[in-house]
Amino acid sequence: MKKSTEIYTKWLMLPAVLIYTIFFIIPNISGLILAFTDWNVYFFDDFNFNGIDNFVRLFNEKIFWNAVNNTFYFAIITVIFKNLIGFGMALMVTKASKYNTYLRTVMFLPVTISGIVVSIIFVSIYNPTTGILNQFLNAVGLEVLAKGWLVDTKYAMTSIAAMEIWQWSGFSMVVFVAGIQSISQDYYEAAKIDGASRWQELRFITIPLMMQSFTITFIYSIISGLKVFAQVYGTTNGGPNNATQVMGTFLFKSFSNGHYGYSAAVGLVFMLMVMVVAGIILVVMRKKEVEF
Amino acid sequence: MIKRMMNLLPKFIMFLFSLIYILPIWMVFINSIKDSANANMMGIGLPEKGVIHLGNYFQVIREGGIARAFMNGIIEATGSVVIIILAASCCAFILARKKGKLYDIIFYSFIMGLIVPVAFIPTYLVLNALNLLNTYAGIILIFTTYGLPMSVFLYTGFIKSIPRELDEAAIIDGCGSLRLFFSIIFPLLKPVTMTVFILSFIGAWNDVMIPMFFANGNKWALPLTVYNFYGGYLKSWNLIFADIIITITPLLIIYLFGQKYIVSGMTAGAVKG
Amino acid sequence: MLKKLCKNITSSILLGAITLSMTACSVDMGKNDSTSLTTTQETNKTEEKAKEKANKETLTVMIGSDDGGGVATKTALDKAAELLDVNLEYSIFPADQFLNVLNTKGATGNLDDIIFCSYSLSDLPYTEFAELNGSWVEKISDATKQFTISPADGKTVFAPFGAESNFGLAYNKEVLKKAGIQVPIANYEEFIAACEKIKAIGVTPVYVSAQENWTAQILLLSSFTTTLMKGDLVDQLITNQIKPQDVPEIEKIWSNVLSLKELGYINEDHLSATHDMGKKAIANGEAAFYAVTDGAYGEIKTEYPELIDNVGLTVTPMWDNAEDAFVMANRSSRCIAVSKNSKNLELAKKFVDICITEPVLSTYYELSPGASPYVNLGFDLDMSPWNSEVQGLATTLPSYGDWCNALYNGKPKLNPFFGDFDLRVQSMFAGQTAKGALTEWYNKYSEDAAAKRVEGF
Repeated sequence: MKKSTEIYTKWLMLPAVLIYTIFFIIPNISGLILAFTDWNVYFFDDFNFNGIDNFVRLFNEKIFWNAVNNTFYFAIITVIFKNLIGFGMALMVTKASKYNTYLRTVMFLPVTISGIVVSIIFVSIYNPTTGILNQFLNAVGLEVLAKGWLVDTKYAMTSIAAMEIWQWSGFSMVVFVAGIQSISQDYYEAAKIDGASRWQELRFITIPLMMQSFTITFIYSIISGLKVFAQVYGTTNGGPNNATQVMGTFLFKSFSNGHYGYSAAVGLVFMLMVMVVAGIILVVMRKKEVEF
Repeated sequence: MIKRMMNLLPKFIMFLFSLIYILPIWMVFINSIKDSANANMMGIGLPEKGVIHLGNYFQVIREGGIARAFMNGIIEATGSVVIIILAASCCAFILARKKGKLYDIIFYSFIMGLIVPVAFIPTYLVLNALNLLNTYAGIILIFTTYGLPMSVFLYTGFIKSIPRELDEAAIIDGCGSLRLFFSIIFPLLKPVTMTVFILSFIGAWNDVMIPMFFANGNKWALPLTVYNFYGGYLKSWNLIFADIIITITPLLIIYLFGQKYIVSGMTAGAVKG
Repeated sequence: MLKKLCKNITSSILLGAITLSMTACSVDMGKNDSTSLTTTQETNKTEEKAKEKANKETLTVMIGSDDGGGVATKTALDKAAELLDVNLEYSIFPADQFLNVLNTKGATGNLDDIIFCSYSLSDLPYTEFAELNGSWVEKISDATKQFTISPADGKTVFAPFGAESNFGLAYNKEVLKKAGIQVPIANYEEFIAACEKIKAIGVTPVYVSAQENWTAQILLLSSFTTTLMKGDLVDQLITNQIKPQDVPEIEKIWSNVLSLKELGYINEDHLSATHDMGKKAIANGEAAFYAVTDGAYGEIKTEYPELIDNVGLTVTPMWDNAEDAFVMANRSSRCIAVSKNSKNLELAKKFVDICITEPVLSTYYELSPGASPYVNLGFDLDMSPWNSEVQGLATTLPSYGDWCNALYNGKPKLNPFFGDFDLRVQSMFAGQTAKGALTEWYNKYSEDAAAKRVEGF
């Protein structure tokens, strides 16, 4: 008989590791090096190392800090509402019934649509004159609330966040439903015997036992919130007047402009920020899980 | 009576709430069968005088190269999903079972993939060097690369929850490690495989940036066809909407067929991950 | 179990594919039944074509969605393909990515056979384009000629295709008549007076559609260029000796444009207004002026055929001194290039030659009329009344093209410096000051210039 650790041959990892190394690790490590060069599309075959120039330029750009602000604003709002709505919906639709299947289906539907396509749809919905949102508000006598959703610098970022929440709250819901379903019924029966109220059930059984679901959706939504790109790119592309510039579009713009060295530096800073934030959340959430 | 009403009330509120999710899609659909002038108004009412302009769809299919884009999407998404499922599950099996620095490094470098944005130009140069630009293989491999992290993450979490005793029993019965994995472990991964399948398929099917940069128009899938009609100077919303409906329908069909596996897959995969 | 699942999924995918193709086919057939004989014949033709298609050679074409999104371009290129008996395979890129893709593919030698683009305001991968030498090269008009030549080696690399564009202010004749205003208007002061009169009769004086950033910039492009060309200002700008925000004349003309907003002469929804809404407003007389390129003529004509004769095109008098007046008659808008690494180089060149023949050009100009970028082609192309009107003005006013030729010997010195000019104009309407917008413009173009290693930056 073999020793148990020898039965797991390393070679099984080879396909994944090989593909990942060639198409992810190598490009990204070269990207790291490029962050310290002046490489650009105009001198494709000839670049020089320029130390931390790219980073100095980046930190001096007002728009960059603007983008950082917007990114965090977007991430926080979407994380809160995706999870609140998703959790609320999950509580409503967990029981198996035809009607609940309908609700689940409908809410998950937007997840299947391409981000660029969702943006195009919402560009038309948010149109101040012809869009259905303002038409609806006008029809029910709430003209005061009708706004220039994507064009008013005050509301543009929030409008895009609402679109993201619309698209992804169904995903959180599904993860929560999964979490609730995985809780054994015994707990609830025991709680009933003890005469627990529904609120107490929620507070002391459901939420603690599905903490892992929260970890998943928090991490997932915070990463997608910080990495937001297609949603902004497809609607306002950072405008008007940089009011909706986020890290993703800022990075892409520097890349589109052909300033590859600079864009690599932006990417590096961007990555570090996401890593730090996601890391902190992961540690905090894991701690919470252990407590229960 | 009042109690009955009270029971129905949340259902009714939920119904109104669900409208928020349906109306945008309805708006797209209904305007896709109107003429250009009416579609530009983007109302949610039925078409004028009940005239249905199916011609929009013919025009989109003809001018947008829909048939080829559809096949491209199937080839690229299916190809990458198959590789992702096989490669990620194999890799995750070892990562979940073995302990050591090497395995930690590999695991965390996959986690990095969740965070790091695509480095387009270096990736472009790698593909160029391997002669993989403008090929299905190239696109499939890049989709695979960016689908692997999430999948490895989900699989590893799930495999950790499968008791090791199972492996040992199989070995005693004379299984080799390949047979152990494919005939004993892999079938147990079904729920998480479903999740990986759906998430990766959606991801690959909907991506626009990767095909756009790494391949020519004849390898592009459905989402990019909208740019045939979403021009900067002229926008024909009836055609844009018809194109959107064509683009999202295949995934909707897959989703409607596979939705019961999504929740079960999440239960098993995501939550234990 | 898993097998069954996979089967389920595969079959549902296949089912989806089959249903989709079936619906496509069956509905196509249904359509033929209901329409006349000619369509049936056309179907036969398409079937034959499908058979032929397999044997034909294929050329790949790259287009930006700006240029490919319209009907005219594709119709004309398809016509040329039919004449040459080749298949075309389009890659239509999102407009804002096109230049980036072109440059990346160019730098690695991966361009498509044919490139259909605008003579961009930024740099194109000129050295990757093949030299073109059809007989049409001799006939390119003076205003466009300089732009068809690669700055790298002086070879002709572009075949002008789109019309030479006129930028200016579209105006509604009826509204102006009612308000008692004559065009062309001499200067800013008189323009403001005119706006006041128009406002008095309850019409929006100037329509701005800043949601689509390429439209709002026309107000400036068609009015501040001469200011730039005074003395050696351009030379100072492009060597970084002076910044645009520090030139009072430039700031003045930007402020003049911004003052239209401050004085309430533009539509309130200018930030959300689209080009479609602008065309509607000017055609219906809801607005008196709207800054456009002459391409809008064809669009308005298609959308509001009964109203188009009521709309004219004139200069954009944002200048303080009447002497600064000029007509923005510019180079041809769109052109065709061939990749020098093309596997079908000869065929691709032949394709370009076929594009510059009567059947193809007439097809295009019928859909998108304008002033031809060629002289003595031996046939006339449809020109719009707007072009005639502006050409009429150009007999008394200097034109931008002449200006370039006279001053700089044809070199478009400032062109690589426009950067994201359009976004800066948009941000000005979104609340930025004229000086602030100019500063942002400078920041952007100086970064680009540094990357291009232009001396002085």
